Amino acid sequence: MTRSKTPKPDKRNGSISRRAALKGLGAVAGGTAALGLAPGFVRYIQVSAAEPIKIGFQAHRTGIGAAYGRWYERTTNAAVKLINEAGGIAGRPIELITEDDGTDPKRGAEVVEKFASQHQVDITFGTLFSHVVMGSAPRAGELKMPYYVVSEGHHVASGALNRYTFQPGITDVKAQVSSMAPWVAKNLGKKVTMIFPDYAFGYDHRDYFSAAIEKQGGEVVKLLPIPATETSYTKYFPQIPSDTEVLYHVMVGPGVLTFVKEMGEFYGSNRPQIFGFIDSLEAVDMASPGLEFLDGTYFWEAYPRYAQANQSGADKFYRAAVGVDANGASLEDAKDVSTYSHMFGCWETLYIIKEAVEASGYQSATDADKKKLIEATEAMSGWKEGNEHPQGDKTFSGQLHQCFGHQFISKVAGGKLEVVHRTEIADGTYEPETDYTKMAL
Amino acid sequence: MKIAVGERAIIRAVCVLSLIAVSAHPALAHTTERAFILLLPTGYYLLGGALAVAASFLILLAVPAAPLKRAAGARLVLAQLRVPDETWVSLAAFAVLLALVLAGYLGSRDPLANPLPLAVWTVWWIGLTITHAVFGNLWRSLNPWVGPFRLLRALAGSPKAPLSYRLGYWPALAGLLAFAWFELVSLAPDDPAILARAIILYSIVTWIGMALFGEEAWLSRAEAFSVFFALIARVAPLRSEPAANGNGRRRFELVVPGRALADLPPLPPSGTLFVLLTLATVSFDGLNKTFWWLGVNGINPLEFPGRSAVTAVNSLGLVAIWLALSAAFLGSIGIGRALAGERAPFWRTAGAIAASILPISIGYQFAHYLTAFLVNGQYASIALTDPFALGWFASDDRMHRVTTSFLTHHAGVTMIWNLQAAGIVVGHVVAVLVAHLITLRKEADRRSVLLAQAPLAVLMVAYTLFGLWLLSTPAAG
Repeated sequence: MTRSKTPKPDKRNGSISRRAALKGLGAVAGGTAALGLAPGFVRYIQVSAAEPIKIGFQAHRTGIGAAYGRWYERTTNAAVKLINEAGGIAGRPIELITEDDGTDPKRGAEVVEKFASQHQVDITFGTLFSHVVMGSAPRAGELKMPYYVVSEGHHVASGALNRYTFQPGITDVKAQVSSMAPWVAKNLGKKVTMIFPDYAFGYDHRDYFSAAIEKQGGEVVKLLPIPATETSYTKYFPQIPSDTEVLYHVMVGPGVLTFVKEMGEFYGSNRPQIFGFIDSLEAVDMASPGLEFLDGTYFWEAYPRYAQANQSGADKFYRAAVGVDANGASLEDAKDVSTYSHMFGCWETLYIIKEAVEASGYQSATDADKKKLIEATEAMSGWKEGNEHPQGDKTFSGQLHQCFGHQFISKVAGGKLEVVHRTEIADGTYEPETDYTKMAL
Repeated sequence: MKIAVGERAIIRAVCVLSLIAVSAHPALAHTTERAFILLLPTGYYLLGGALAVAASFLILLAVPAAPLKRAAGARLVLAQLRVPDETWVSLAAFAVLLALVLAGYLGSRDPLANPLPLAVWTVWWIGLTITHAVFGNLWRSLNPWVGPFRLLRALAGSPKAPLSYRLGYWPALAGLLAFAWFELVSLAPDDPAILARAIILYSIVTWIGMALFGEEAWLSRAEAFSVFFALIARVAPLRSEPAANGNGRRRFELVVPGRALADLPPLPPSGTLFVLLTLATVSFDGLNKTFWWLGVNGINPLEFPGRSAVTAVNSLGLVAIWLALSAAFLGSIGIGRALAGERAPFWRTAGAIAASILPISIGYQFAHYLTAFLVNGQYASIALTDPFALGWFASDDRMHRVTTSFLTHHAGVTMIWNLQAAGIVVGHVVAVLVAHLITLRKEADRRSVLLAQAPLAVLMVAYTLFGLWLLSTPAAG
């Protein structure tokens, strides 16, 4: 529902903002030079009717997150464009202000600070890498800055953050991993060997999946942590017990392709069932040479990269808007594969922000309005699948500030991923670990 | 008040660190081109590259000196052209710089949309450097500080005589080191406003230096980029010099690449260290992302914590690799002199041979920044059409879509790897040639040439291996 608001003058500095002045200047220049035909001029006239709602986009434009950041930016821009074309948020256009955090937690906190003091944004959004979220969220809390992250970490739902930080657009890793166990136990086997990188990311999988598979009557027969600096894996494969029914792998980083190749060399055609997380091969073409061994193995996906036979209208709509083809690759370059299992979170989060702002009656970045926005977000219970939520239905816990959605298990077939199972949302739910609503605003 | 702020910052930092320590981390260490490179037979490339450099050293030794010198001196005059007046070109460049700095303050905050960081880091630092290695010294004209300086001087009337300049290349060395630290270690060199401030600061320092010591002295030895580009330009196969008959024309000719380096008078110690720094910085940029470096420093390469966590160690590392390279270079010169029984002053020999490092710097620069150039070059071409983020030409989003697919499929990565390996090896082969030509200036017999050069040749073979290893070993990001 869109409620129109009366246009409100910018009272913060009592004068026209620098950006507005620039836009005006650009419009004048464009008008003079091209008799008013410049697009900037037309746009200026259209948006000047309402003060924009400013959303600070904390993006990983440089540093190790840049490859993901590129697709986050593309998805974000597509959603902002659509929302603005449809009248904006509460009748106000979104002005997206992108700041690069260099995928660095200290810089992340600085960027949040800049959003608050320099750009005076209404909301900050879009942080992906967990360590940057952990570095930035405390500052957002101190500044009372509504902060909507798209990280899939368990950090929000774990209670480690604060009342102002939400993750409403993507399921957290604990729920993702836990929800795999019922199907794996039923269809692939109950004796699982886990091979994972020997640090926090790997430990999440180890702990969440071990607990979840035990609930299904299964067991982890062997844990094989691999040092993060390892680049050859041949010495680890002989350690996999011969009675292993399912090999669960979550290797990441530059060693991934070597891992798959060596796993293929070790097993040949006689292998256990193999299950992995698409994080390992996000943005890599499944038809790449060297990945043939994965044919017939299974992957978790948050959102199926390859358009399925029963593709929803919403998925078609979303792909077209972001500019992604049926293989999850760019429409301009079929070899440019997107980070399809993560970037939808930006799209869905922006629509949730829109809904929260409109439901709360939020007007400006005052403490009272921000309080209304936080409470309105916490009051939400979930969303139905549709163009605004193409990944699927979600439930949302206001206590945990975290959403929960369906997950997908896909089988590699002919260099693509075919969905064989969609989990129930309940498969991933767990006992609440916190209640943010009890924290002071 | 200040104390309170400081305390808050410390408490915050402690809270953040403890949160990070206990947090669960989804891993998004993505599959980069390194994943594909790890599948390539890079070991053969390392071996082949090292052999090519060693062989070029031995082949040059076998060629008699006289015909080699003649061949190296060959030149093909292409044309005599009238070139635009340097002052006016510089004023135009200054206008562009001014617009870019303005965009740095007023344009998009996104460093991949704002034209300033893209123009500086991609177009200028990567693109213009390689351009100099092909087309010779363009910076002499493009230097944006000369035009305004001359204009002001003309307006101000007759200036005082400049102070006598006796600082050698030390100011240039300090400038390049500061620049490298800003680029490779500081937290946010891509931030448009931070970069704009840095440019303003550097411009002021440059103008003060020019005012105090005179344009010629300051630009030829103290201003880091004028020194850098003038040296790099000597690698280029295209040279130009004022035509004999004047008229403001310049004669353009093709020469043997690196030939002009052999003609360079010996550099003073500060100049030698400057040249070594040009190679050390780009080497360190590669090294500091390798699993090896991160492992040595106790950092999980799959969970790189960001620049803020490695500021101190990378500051030390940058200087350390420069000192190590300098020690290796000067050591090889010392051993060569001892073997050949050379009597010329040590720094004179070192300062002469130092020029041979520059082709390696260029090879590294090309190989190391190739992928960054291919990706950010796309952003630069987009940003320059809309420098102030006002939506100019933004009607078609598709024009604004950047691809990096060449880094995530086998054929693209193989092609890039081949180009990178070629850059490293060709740089070293040219370096061997330059070192040989320089040695021939003073050593008469083949045995002395061999003995004087052998230690340096060993170093160059080793650096070829190091360069190819840097590009093929697992790295973060």
